[in-house]
Amino acid sequence: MNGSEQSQLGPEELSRLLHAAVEPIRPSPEAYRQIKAGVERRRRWRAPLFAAGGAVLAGLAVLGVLLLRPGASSSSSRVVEPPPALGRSSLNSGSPGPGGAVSSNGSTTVGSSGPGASQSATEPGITPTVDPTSNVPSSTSPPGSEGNSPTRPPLLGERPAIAGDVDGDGKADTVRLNGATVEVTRSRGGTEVAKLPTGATATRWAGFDLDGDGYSELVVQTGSASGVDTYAVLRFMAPGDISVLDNNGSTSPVTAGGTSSGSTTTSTGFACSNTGIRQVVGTSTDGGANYDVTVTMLAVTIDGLTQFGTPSTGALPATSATPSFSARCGDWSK
Amino acid sequence: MTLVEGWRPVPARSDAARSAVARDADQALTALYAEHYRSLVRLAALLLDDIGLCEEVVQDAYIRVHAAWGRLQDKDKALAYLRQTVVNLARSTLRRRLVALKHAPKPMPDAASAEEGAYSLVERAAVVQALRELPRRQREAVVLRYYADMSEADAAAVMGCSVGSVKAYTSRGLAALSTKLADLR
Repeated sequence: MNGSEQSQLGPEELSRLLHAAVEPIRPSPEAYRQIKAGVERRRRWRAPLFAAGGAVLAGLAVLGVLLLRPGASSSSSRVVEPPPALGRSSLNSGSPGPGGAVSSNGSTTVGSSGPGASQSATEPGITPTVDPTSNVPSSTSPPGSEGNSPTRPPLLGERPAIAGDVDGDGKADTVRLNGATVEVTRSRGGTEVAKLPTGATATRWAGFDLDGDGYSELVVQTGSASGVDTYAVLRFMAPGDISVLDNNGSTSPVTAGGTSSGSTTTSTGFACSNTGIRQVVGTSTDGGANYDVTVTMLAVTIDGLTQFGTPSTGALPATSATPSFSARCGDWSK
Repeated sequence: MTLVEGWRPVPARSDAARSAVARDADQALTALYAEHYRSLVRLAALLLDDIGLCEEVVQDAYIRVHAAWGRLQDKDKALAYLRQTVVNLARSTLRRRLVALKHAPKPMPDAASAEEGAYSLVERAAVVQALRELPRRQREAVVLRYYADMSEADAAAVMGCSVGSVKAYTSRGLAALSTKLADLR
């Protein structure tokens, strides 16, 4: 190749060459149809993609709500964990209510008159054949017992609460019975008045944390008729609100005492525990020598008393059965 | 990647507005096809190594422009946007082909058709052969300036470089082509 003879390729000539070179190219007759098909393909994909994207976003939103919401079903969702030191110091500082002691098994016993007089609710009143703990494992938590009302003040005391610590600050509160009303002066400040059902007269009360949530419930005797005492359960709902819990409409759900008609004797009693109330009903057809005993567990929830587990039954001699036909709920105060 | 002027995201529209845009896009697509498809295929043929791919690239560009029609603010620049897309797609096709060639040489399509004949005619053209030996940017500059008749500024916008670079690429490409084509003239 001889570079010196070579003339510079002019732009016009290059342009002409380029146009000429591609001149044979003819668009395929299919081209327009193929473009249309591509547009359609894209359009078809867009709607499902948007829908899928929306579904994914909605799913994420739901997940976020579930994660952020304080889970009512989770046992670790208590608002405040009780600082143990606070609860114990209140025991030693001579709180206004009845003195309390926390036994090693975690249940609360009330009373300063010595272990012999202690009316521990876990004291086996009847023989193990009908002991509900054999049929209802202690791990079975009563329905709703974890439901901590969000409107209660944060828990400062221990779980379960000491007797009579209605507002969960580790100090027993002052309870006064006045006819058909129960007045509670709380140690955090504030007084609640709970009205008992019509016709009821409060005669004695006991504080007991029936659901083990650190806020003591109150068991109040509301009356006595033909040897059977009736009791109501009061729960602290929120400041300014202490309500009588009912059990299927009955506001005096638990009873203790016995009635006889002829040779048939019906005796009832109950025991308080941190998982609920154990109601015992015994029927004797032989003048009180042997009893057919039914034990029902009642859970204490914000909605009322609910039976849980399967009632257990058994036949017991009077010597074993009789101790359970009483109201055992710690110390009773007038 | 360079953006054509007037190409900006705009807020979402209502459904009615969207269907109006879709109708508008369909009409524009048809008009753009009738007017420019052939020249764009030829442009792609000069930019690409594999002439068999040029129609595919241009069709893809049309589909993309159609999809983006609602976001295109200046409809008069649709052709510029189409060209830009063709250049970009040609670049990425070249890049893909380089990678593919490195690993496994693509077998040549064996189907014979009328287009094949036309393509082989183009492939045999000396100027096309010479063009293929140029570096990619020189080739783009030469094709955009002397085939697409774009100004230096337009070519710079499409290529994503300065006007000075376009000038340099063009003159170097022109010189190289002169040398390569000297024997044939």
